[in-house]
Amino acid sequence: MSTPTSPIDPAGANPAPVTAQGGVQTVRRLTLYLLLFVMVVIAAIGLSGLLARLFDVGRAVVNDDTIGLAQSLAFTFIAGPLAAVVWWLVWRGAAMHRDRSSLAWPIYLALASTVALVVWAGQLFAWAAEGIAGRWMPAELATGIVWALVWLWHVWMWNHSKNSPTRLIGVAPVIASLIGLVLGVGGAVMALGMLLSSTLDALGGIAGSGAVSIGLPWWVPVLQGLVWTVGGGALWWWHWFRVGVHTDRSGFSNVVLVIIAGFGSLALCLFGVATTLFIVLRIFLDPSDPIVVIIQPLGNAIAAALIGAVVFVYHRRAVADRPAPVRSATTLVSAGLTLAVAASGFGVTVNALLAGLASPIVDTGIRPLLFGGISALLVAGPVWWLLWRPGTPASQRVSTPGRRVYLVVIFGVSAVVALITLLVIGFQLFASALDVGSGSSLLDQIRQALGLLAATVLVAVYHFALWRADRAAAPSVARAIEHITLVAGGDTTELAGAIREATGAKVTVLRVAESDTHSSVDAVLAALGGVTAGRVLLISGAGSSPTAEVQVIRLAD
Amino acid sequence: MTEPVRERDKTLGVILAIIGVAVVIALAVVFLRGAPETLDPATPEGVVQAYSVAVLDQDRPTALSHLIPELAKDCSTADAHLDGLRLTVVSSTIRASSATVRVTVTTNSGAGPLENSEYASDDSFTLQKVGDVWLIETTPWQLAICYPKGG
Repeated sequence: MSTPTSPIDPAGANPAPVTAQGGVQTVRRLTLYLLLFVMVVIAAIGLSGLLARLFDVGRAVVNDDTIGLAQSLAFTFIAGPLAAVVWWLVWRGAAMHRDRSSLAWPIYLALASTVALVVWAGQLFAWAAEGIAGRWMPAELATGIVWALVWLWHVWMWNHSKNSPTRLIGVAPVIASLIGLVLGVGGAVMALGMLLSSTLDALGGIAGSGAVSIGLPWWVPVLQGLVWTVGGGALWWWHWFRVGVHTDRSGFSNVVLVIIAGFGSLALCLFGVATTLFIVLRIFLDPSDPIVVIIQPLGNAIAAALIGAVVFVYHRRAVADRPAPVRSATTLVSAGLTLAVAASGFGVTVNALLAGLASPIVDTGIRPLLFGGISALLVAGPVWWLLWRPGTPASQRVSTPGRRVYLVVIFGVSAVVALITLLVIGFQLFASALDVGSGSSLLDQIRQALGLLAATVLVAVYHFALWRADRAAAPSVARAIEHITLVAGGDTTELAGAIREATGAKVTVLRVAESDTHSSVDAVLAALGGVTAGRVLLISGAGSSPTAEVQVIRLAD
Repeated sequence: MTEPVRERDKTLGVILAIIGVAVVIALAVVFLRGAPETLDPATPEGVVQAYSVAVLDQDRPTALSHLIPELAKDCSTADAHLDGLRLTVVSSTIRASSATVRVTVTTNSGAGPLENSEYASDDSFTLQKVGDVWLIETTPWQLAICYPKGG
């Protein structure tokens, strides 16, 4: 915590890391870290129990739980010292000199600090939120404090000047920022949703048809949501800005950003908008339920739409600063999500259509079903159109690897859905053929599967046509080089990217220890010109002078 | 180069047309469809329908009047589960003094566009003929408003 500026500096102040040894050393590390993790967890449980009793002194009327106390004491005084011993074995200089460059060390730290963060944040925020409602929860407070200390301890180890891990440097802060974001967004949706719901209730009360609320005053749940918002938001802010996750360009950080910007925030926003539309349709076109019942979820739906939109817009901007593959991956993930929602909406619409054709003897109404399908289709369909831009002519489209992976994933998912729905339909058809049954009941049994199957077929047909068009439009140029192993010093991200772009080859980078620089991009690309081979070893010279220090060695296949 | 583009656009156009037509037909079917037709109350299916409608309307006396006296007289109250309920007759077997009406019971407890949770299952009503009237002996659990005391 003492150096919040930039622990995610890839160059780092970590001179001459020693390569971690494998074999028995790996087993030793795994054993030690596993032991340490288990001991820390047990000791923390014991300490939390003791501390909770301390907070409860003077409040507990009857306290005869000797077994619980004995357990807490045993956990604390057996596992605590053992954890200290294991930690000393892990932490002493000789061990760390060998271990800090291993993968197990950052994985242990990231795992333990993530568990600790989730526990303390959840418990402390819950304690504060319940405190607002006037409930005193000593166990939550004690657990929160103890795990917060465990977390601080692991953050300190993660940032230690001598013993911090040299690999996976950005992972723990990225996970922490994600946790903060999830908690904050959840709290914000809850707070805003409660606020809007009570506003709607009040409006309904004025109109004479409001729900009578019983229990806590309306501002208590709003404040409780705000506690989570502020707590989660502060965690996110600290890691995103102060620790520097927003400038982290590692692969892991990019993946998490794609998940947030391309999937999570968009899913939240779509859910909110579609539910709002669903409720509006029901208010005007479905008289089967009283309005008070229909608008029950409206507050939360609007809140989810608004908060989801804020998170989405902010992270889209963050994505715009990232390299092209991250941008296109975000768009593809979003397109896949909206496609799935729109297709399910269509499936439900077909389901409602078939339900309307059957002749039941009793029916409470299928309008909610139809409106559900139509709202999902109407909300997700246009967003998919904007993201996917189906009108783009083939000549302007680039058939990137990401796009091909996307198409393959869609075919795979379509095949699985088609298989399952066909099995259901086949089973019901045979069951009905073997046993006398009416056509109406058969239709009621299979309409859900039929709807999904229809949606899947449309999705598969469209993407198959697209796949063929892409294949026909793609220039069938064989790559000159398949795989390049680049040996270079310094920061090679840009150089490797340029080589990838120019040749289309897969690039593996081996970093030189002594040198901090490498040949210029132009010199390297010039040296690669005209080379044809399956695999190539490319050794970049030190210094950025365009002189011929670049060596290109063709390798046998 | 232009040939595949046109073909793809044609595919998309056809798909959009299919979606549009399906939505319009679904709206028409759902909105123009009347209430389920009322069956002859002298048949077992008619009794099942009258009983189920009464349960849905929370008209307990009417519902009880369709049950056999042993059950209706000595009845512990049970709660019916009526979320988005829908009944379709699979088949009916009518014998001299008893009948079985098999039905598909569909419930939908979902409350939003993305949390649709329809569930269909087959179950049956059994009926007895008391005098000239069909009375219900057992019902699917979703529609049960009574269960025998001590049983």
